[in-house]
Amino acid sequence: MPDRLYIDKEDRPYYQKAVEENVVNFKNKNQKEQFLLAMAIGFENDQKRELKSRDGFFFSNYLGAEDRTLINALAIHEHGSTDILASEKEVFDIAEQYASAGIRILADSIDKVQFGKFDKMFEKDLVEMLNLNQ
Amino acid sequence: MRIERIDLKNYRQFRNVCVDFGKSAKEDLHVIVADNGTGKTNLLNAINWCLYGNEPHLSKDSQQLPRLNLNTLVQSIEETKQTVSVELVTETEGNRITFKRSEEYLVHRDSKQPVLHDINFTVTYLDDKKNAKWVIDEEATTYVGRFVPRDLREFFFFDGERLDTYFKSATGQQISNAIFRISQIDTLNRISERLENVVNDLKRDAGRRSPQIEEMREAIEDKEKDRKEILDQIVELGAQKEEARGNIDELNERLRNIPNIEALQAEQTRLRDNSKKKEQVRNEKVTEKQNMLFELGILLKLYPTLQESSQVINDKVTNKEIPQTYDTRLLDDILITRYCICTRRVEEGGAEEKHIKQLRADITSSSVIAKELLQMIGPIEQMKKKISTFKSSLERITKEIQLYEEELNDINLKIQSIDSQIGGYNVEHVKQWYSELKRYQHIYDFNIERITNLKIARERLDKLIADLDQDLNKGLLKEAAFQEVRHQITFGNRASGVVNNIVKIMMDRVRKAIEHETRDSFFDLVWKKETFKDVYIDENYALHLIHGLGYECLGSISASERQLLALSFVIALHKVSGFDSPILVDTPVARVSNEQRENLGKTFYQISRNKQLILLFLPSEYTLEISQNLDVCASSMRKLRLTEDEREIQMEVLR
Amino acid sequence: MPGMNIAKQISETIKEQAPNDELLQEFILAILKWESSTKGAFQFKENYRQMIKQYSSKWEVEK
Repeated sequence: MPDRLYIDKEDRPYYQKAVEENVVNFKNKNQKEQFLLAMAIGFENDQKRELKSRDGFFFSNYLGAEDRTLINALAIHEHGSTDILASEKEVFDIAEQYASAGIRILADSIDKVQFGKFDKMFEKDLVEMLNLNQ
Repeated sequence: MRIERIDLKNYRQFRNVCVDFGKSAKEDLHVIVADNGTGKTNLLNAINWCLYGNEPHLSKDSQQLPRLNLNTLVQSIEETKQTVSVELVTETEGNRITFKRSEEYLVHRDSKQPVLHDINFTVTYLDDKKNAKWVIDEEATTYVGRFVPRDLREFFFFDGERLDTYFKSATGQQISNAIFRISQIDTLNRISERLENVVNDLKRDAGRRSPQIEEMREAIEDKEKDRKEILDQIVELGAQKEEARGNIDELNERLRNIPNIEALQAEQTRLRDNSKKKEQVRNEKVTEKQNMLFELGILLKLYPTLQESSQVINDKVTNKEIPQTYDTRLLDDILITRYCICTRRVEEGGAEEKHIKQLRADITSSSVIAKELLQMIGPIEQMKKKISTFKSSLERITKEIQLYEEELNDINLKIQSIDSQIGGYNVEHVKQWYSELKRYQHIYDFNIERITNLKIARERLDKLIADLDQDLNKGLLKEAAFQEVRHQITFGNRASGVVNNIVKIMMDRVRKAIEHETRDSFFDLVWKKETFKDVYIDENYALHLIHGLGYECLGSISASERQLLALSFVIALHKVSGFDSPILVDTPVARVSNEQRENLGKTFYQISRNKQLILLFLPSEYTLEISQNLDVCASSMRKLRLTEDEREIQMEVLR
Repeated sequence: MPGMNIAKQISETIKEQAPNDELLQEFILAILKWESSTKGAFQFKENYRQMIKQYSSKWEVEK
C-alpha cells in the first residue's frame, strides 16, 4: 500500500513555473490539488509519461473521497475494467503518469499564452467543454 | 486757495527755478511735461518737503543724493554755507500766504556730504491791517493744516502711478478721516473737544474750592479717560476689521474661479479609500473565481471517466454485483470445521479446500473493489451536481467582478477628474490662500464681536458719566458760591452736546453726499458702464464697488479703474466740501488706456474750471487724446529738461 | 462754487439741534467762526472761557 503519490524529479520545475505564473491561483493550492489538475490535463490530452526518478509529492491519506473517486475513475478508464481497483499501487501509477505528462502540457500552455491571459483562455476552454457536454 | 508760484533754490535738480502758475485762462489748468529722471517727480517732492518736511516720492537714486544741488555743492569754495529752500506762494480770497522751508548746509571740500547746519520753516501772511506777520515752528504747521492737512495730502498732491495701490484697501478709517477733515467737521470736533476741556477746567476750579466736588470731578475724569480708551480701541479694531475685510474681498476674488482644493483633496482621499476597499473585495472575488475554475477544471476534464465509472457502477448495481451478498463467515466456518453445509468432509489440501480458498480470495478481492466502487457513488453524484451548477456560478461571479470593475473605473475617473480640476494650480498657494481667508474671516468676526462689546461698555460708561455729572451738578447746586460755575458748566455741556449731534448728522450727510458725487463722477468717467453696478460708502465709511453681477470687486479692478475711482472720490470730496485747495497729480494717466485718456482729459478740463489743477506728464502720457483737450485751455505749459551734466533743470515755457 | 455749502448746512443744523435757544445758537456760531479763521490756533482756552462766561450769564437754564 503506497503511502504517497510520486512525481518525476524532473517535473518539479514545471510545477514551479505554474506556481510563479500563478495561473488559476496555482500558488495557493496544495501539492495534492496541483497534482490532480496536472493529472486531469494529462488525461484531457491523452498523454502519459513514465516516471524516471520518483520523488514523493504528497501523502495518500490527504486524498479525500472526491479525489479518490477521480483517480479511481481514471484508472478504470485506463484499465478497461474495475479490477484495477484491487491494486492501489497500480491505480496510483496511472494517476502519476498522467500527472507527469499533464504538468508539462500546462507549463507549455503558459509559455504559449500572452502574459496574464492564461486564466481567460482556461475559462473559455471550460465553458466550451461545458457547452459540448450539455 | 491756489498756488501762485513755487520758488526753488538749490533744491535737488532745481538750482534756481521759479515756476509761475498765473491764471491766464478760464481754466486754472497747468501742464508740465518732463521725462522720468528730469525732476518731474521732485517738483511734487518739493511741495511735500516745503509743507510737511518730507519727500514721500523720492526715487531710489535721489535717496542717495543730498538735497543740496550737486553743482552748487561741487562749485562751492571750502567752508561756505549753502541754502536749500522751497517757497510756496499761495493765495486765498485775496490774501497771500507764503510757506517757506529752508535748510542751511556747511560745505567741506573733503567730504562729499554737506553738513546740515540750520533748519527754518516760516509762514508769512498779512493780518487785518495788512501788516506782514510771520509764524514759525508748530504754529506755522497749523497753517499748513488749513491749506492741505498732512493726512489728506494724498487727496491733493498725488502720484498717479501709485494711485492703484491707494484704493486697494480703501479703509473706512482713511475715508472717514478724509470726510472729517475736508468738510470742516474736524473743526466741529475740535470745538467739542475744547468745550469739554474748558468745562473740565471749570469743574477743576470748583473742585479746588470743595474737596467733595473735586472727588466727584476726579471720578468723572477717570471714567472719561476709560471712555476715551474704549473709543480708541473701537477705532483701532475698526481699522483692523476693515483691513481684514479688504483682504477677505481680495482673497475671495483671487479664489473666485479656483475650486476648493482642500475639499477636493479630501474627496479624493475618500474616493481612494473607497477604491482600496472595493479593490480588495474584487480581488477576493477574482480569487474565488480562480478557485472555481481550478476545481471545475479538474472535474470537467475528467468528466468522461466519471461518466464511464458511473455507468459501470450502475450496471453492477443493477446486476446485483454490488453490494455483494456473499456470506464469507460461512466459508470461513467450513475451512475451520472442515465440514461443508451438505455435511461432506472437506479434506485439508483437497480440491474442495482449494476451491473454497480461491473463492474466499476472490470474494476478498472483489469486496475491496466493490467497496471502492460503492464509495465512488456519492462523490460522483456530488461532482455531477457541481458541474451542473458551474455555468451559473461562473456567470454570477463574473458579473460580480464586472460590477466591481465598473465601480472602480468610475471612482478612478472621479479621481482623475479632481486631478485635472486641481492640476495647473499651485496647490500649496491655494491652500495657503484658503487658510489666510479663514484667518482673516476669523479676525473680522472676532473684531466685530469685540467692537460690539466695547460699544456696550461705552454705553454703560456714558450712562455712568451722565449720572456722575448729575451728582456733580447737584453738589454744585448745594452751594450758592458755585452757581455761576455750575451755570457755565451746564451751558458748556449743552453746547458740547449740540455740537456732537451736529457732527454725527453732518458726517452722515456729507458721507451720503460724497457717496452720491463719487458714484456720479465714476459712472460718468468709466468706459465700460455695464461692468459696474454701484458705488457706495457704508456707515463705517468703507468704500464699496459692486460689479454688474452683484459681487464686491474693489480688490480686483484694474489700475486704471482704480485711478478713475480715486479721482472720482477726490472730485467728490472737493465738490461736497467746497474746499478750495489745488490738486497736483504726477503721472496722471500712465496706467490708463487711450480710450479712457480722452475721458480723463475732459474731466481735467472740467475740474480746472473751478479749481487749480497742476498736472505733471511724461511725454509718453501726453498723447493726442489728452493734449487735444488740454492744449487749448491750459493756463500754462512747460517742459522740463536736464542740462548735459544732468545736475540742473532747465525749464522751457511754452505758454 | 458747487458743493454742499457745509457752512450753511452747519448753521441750519445748529438751529435744528438747539431750537428756541438763540443764545446757544449764537454761541456755537461765534465759536465756529473763531475756529474757522486762520488765527487763534492755540490760545483757545482764554477765548472759550470768556465766551462761555459771556453767553452763559445771559442764558436761562430752564431752556
